[in-house]
Amino acid sequence: MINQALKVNDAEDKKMLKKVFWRTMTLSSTYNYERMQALGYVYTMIPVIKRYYKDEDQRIEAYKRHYELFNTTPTMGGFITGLSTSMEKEASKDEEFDKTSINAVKLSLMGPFAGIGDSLFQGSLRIIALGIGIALAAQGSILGAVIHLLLYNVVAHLLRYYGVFAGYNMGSTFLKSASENGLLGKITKGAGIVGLMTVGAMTCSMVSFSIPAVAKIQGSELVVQDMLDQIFPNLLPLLLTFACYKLLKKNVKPIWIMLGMMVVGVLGKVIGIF
Amino acid sequence: MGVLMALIITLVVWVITWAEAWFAYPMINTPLVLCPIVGLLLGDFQAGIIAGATLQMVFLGVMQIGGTLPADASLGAVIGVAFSITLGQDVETALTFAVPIAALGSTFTLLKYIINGLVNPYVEKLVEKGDTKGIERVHFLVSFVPDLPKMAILFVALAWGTGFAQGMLDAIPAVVQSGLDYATGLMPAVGFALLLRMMWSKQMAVFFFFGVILVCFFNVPIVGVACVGLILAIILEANDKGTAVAAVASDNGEEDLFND
Repeated sequence: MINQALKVNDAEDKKMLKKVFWRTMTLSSTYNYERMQALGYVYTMIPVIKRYYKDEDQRIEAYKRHYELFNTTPTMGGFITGLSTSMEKEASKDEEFDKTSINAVKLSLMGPFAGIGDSLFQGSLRIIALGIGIALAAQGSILGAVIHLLLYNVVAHLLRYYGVFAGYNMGSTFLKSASENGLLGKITKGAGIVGLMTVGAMTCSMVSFSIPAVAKIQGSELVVQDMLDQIFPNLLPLLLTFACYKLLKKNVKPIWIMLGMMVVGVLGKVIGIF
Repeated sequence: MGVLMALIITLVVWVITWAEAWFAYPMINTPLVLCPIVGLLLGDFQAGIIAGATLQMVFLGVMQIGGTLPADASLGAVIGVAFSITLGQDVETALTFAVPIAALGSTFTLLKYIINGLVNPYVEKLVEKGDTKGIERVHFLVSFVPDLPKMAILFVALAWGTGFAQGMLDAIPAVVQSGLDYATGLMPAVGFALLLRMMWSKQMAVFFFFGVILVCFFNVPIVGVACVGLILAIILEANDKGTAVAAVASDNGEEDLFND
């Protein structure tokens, strides 16, 4: 089934889809607040429009159609540009084809695909790849950066490349039903599970927050950290992370929290509790 | 640092910045990758690698979702690591400069988006004429030219900023240095909190704590935790056909952690 979904027999179509793949990657290069990725989208569709429309007026109409607001994760964008390609192909053959549906479908899918992209790539894959990379690099090995890049890009690239072909073959009915019947939601949620577990794990292994200070109570020494560890290991890193979460919810900018931490670190050293 | 070396580093960073967006974010524009490259150019590869690990950890949560403007981790990392190597200092020095510079750096991203938008009326004319060569040319030029202000600042900072940086370091007392070192351990919490803000919901919270417990009590490495997560995701999502619609509905129900 997967083979069928990715197979394109026509050599010319295949060549064109490869161009669409290369161009889809550039979607965000010229992002702006007014039309977002519109320039990238029309740039991506140029080979498609040139191939399917012979009449110059029809071409210009198609360019205008794709120079409209669009925004999604470029890694997942291939599904949508591939789909637009197949819809433009239909539209060029069928006079009756409702061309406004091409943009309607684009707009309805950009949100769900950006959602998958964020949870799959930003939330889980990126974090896992960086986590492994950081651990190796901290020991002074360049393999850290290399493995991070490989791990992330092998997976991401499969979607960047085959997404275009899948979008082209599956057609609007499939992708729309996938978005409506919850398949995309399932993937997003599944990625969320992996992501949250990894973030939980890394909060414990990467945030280092301990209090080495020794309290002297009636002559007996009390090591604060030992006590905390007995309650729950890594209690302080977890509480710190939740405190940051709370601040972020109050719209405090992350960089201010970081600068605040620098101040806290210095103050702690001055007082002598860290 | 010589002017020529500053120019080389600036150009390398410019190409990487461009390629990051042009090739659908391959994650090359990250401290983990940039710092070793800068280290290699400045003749201390090892220091670059170590600084890359530390700065990446600090900036872990820095990422772009939609049109948000995160701190410019790469600009901060490049300047920070370049200063620390040329001044013969350690990772804390890199961090001391990286964080404030990253904070200022996001202004340049904003500036780039605004400059990008300036070409819209011109592109509109090209589209109406059907001038595809023109569209392609503008798309390519706009993908890197609006980064010029940022790259100019980077060049100036690298070429003439070292003396200023040395002066600042001399003025910083030792206790401050060690305090900043301590803060390096705290800062990844911000990154994780940023990720939680994106992913947290009441239904999903249990998975966060599952990951916590696997590490705290069983010492499972990250890859192991990810594998357990993948299997759980498959069991819970792929094998579960009945509640597909409910799964989507629950995604919208992001709730506050503390219900305030």
